[in-house]
Amino acid sequence: MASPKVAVVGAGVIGLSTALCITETCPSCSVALLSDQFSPNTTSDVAAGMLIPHTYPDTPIHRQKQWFKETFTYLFAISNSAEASEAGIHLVSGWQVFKSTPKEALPFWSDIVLGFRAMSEAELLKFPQHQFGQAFTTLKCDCPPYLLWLEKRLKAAGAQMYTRKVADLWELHSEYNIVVNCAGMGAHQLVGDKQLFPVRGQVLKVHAPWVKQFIRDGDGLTYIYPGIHRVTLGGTREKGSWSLSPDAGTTKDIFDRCCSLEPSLQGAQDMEVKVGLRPSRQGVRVQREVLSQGGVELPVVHNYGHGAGGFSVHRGTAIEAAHLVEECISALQVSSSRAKL
Amino acid sequence: MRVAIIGAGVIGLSSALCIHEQFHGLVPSLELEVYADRFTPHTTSDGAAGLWQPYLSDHGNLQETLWNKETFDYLLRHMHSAAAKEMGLFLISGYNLFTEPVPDPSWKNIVLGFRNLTPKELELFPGYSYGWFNTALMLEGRSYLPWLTNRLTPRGVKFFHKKVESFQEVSGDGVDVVLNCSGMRSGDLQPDPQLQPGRGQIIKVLAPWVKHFIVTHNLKSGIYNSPYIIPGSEFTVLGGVNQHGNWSEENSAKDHKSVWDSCCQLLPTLQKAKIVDEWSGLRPARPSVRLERESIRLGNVQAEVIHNYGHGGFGITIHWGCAMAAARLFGNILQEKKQLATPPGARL
Repeated sequence: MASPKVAVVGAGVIGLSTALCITETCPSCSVALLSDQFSPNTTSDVAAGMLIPHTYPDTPIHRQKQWFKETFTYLFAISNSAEASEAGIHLVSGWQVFKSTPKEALPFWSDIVLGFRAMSEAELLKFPQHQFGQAFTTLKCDCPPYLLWLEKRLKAAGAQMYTRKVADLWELHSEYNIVVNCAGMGAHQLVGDKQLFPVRGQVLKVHAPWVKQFIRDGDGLTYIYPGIHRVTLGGTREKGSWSLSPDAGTTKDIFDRCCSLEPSLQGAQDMEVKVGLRPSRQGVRVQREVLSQGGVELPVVHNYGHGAGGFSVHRGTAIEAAHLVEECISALQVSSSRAKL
Repeated sequence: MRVAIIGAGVIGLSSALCIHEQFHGLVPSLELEVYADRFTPHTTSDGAAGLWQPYLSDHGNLQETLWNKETFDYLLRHMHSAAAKEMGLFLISGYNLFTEPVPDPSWKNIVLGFRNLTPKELELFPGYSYGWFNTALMLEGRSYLPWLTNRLTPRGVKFFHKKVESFQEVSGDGVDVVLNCSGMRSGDLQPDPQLQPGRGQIIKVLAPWVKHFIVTHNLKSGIYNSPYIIPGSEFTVLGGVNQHGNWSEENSAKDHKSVWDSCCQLLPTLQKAKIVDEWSGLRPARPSVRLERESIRLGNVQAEVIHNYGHGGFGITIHWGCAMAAARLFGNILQEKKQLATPPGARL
């Protein structure tokens, strides 16, 4: 197979980074990215893009750690380069605070982020309702800039992008040799995965440029993440809710919770309210599958179900998915050479 | 009782506020007047980035370390109030970088979370092999001075836009105490060869992706003669010039290039930052802060002067501790003049 034609479905952070990885590992591949939505209208655009991993119950920890490490290393290099501001990648320090001592003193990612340590008594005075805390420095991917930067790199690598709603992966079998499913929440419809469910998140994006540090409540529900131009205030975790409409009562609740962690937010301006559906799953699905109908086969690589942790592991799962694409290509070459015999 | 304060930078305004807060209830006739030729946004305090950070060593001057601590603690208490934003006050973390190991600074236990940098963090800064990370405060002069002014005006403090040429000029005509907070120009009022300019030049850029301060140190060149990057609430300050004895307040093309090149080398992403302004200012440098009383005979009048100047590149860092010390000296004067039956704080 001279030039395998690969279609990547989905243009959020997973689709774009997976497509980019494929162009890197398989330069002879012809890569097309298909999506009904592009930045700034993807779920990724709503997310703050903080590199603080979510723990997936059904994925082995060593694999999650590997994904996070690869993602952190990749973004660390970009943050240190002249491209950092264009890519929207920057370092940010801050605190994760707990009302009661967490079960794990050291999360699996504590040696990957920078300078991880327990907060001092003096630091905890700022959070009278919290008993324990962790201080560290991590990375943030601001969207849309990061997604636009990925799109730019993809175009430079010769990938094509098409606005197209894919209703069924099989519809691509005649145009493409391999399909990569990065449809996020869309995979629920696209492949009928009943294990995939939305966890609705509402966030506020405000102008508060004096907020330079992140603050996250260890319960994961309340957080303040300063980005390049706006600070993301969150949030909610509504399991099973499909509603993309902002809720006014929720807005007030989020704002109040964040102001109690950081009172100066009272002076924040220009609030935008956004909603995203985290494409959640007990384990991220990075897996090969072969679809077949009437004797025709279509190799598929799935890369979806990242839930609350998409940004934290995106590069790692993209690398893994790109390896699976390579395996698919090898398998196709074997079967096509068999066909020649 | 009339008090004239010469100087409307952070030292003058905070001293005035501290004195008024402590004594207006005890001395009903207390009248404060601020005289200055430059008010915000044209003072040295306005040009400074506003990072709370003393010099590396206090040279055994524990008094100054205590004043620094008093200032930090005072500001930290205000962090929880809604006034913080209006004051231009916010927490910020960042890096101090060295090419060799150095002793811990006098302020390591004043700031929050002080620690050494890890090897991975040092990878961010090629050429530097040692450093510190800590959380400190920013207090932006462009917000803080108006905030102080807005606290002083309703208290009846009067402001006069004039260049004071001598202590006589203000001390005659019924003024009982003069506070000399004239910073760099104190030498015009009373010669002080120990007071010398530490000329700085800074470039203001738009780089909102920078969330940490980065201060590098070159032990041979001296403090602030090595690049530094300090992100504020609106723009980021690039600097690294501290020329002892240079009185020029004009921007120099050579210094611009040196600051720009060295900061871009430190943080390559700054190459994309848009330059919005440039400024030169004179740090009122002195071997130690002059904070003391002096009785000056002016004609047939004995004037009480409280000197509070010479804060170099740490005026914002030390201001409140000095304001309180100046207020204590003022209290002593009041007692001596029998304006106070008992010292403040001794009443039950």
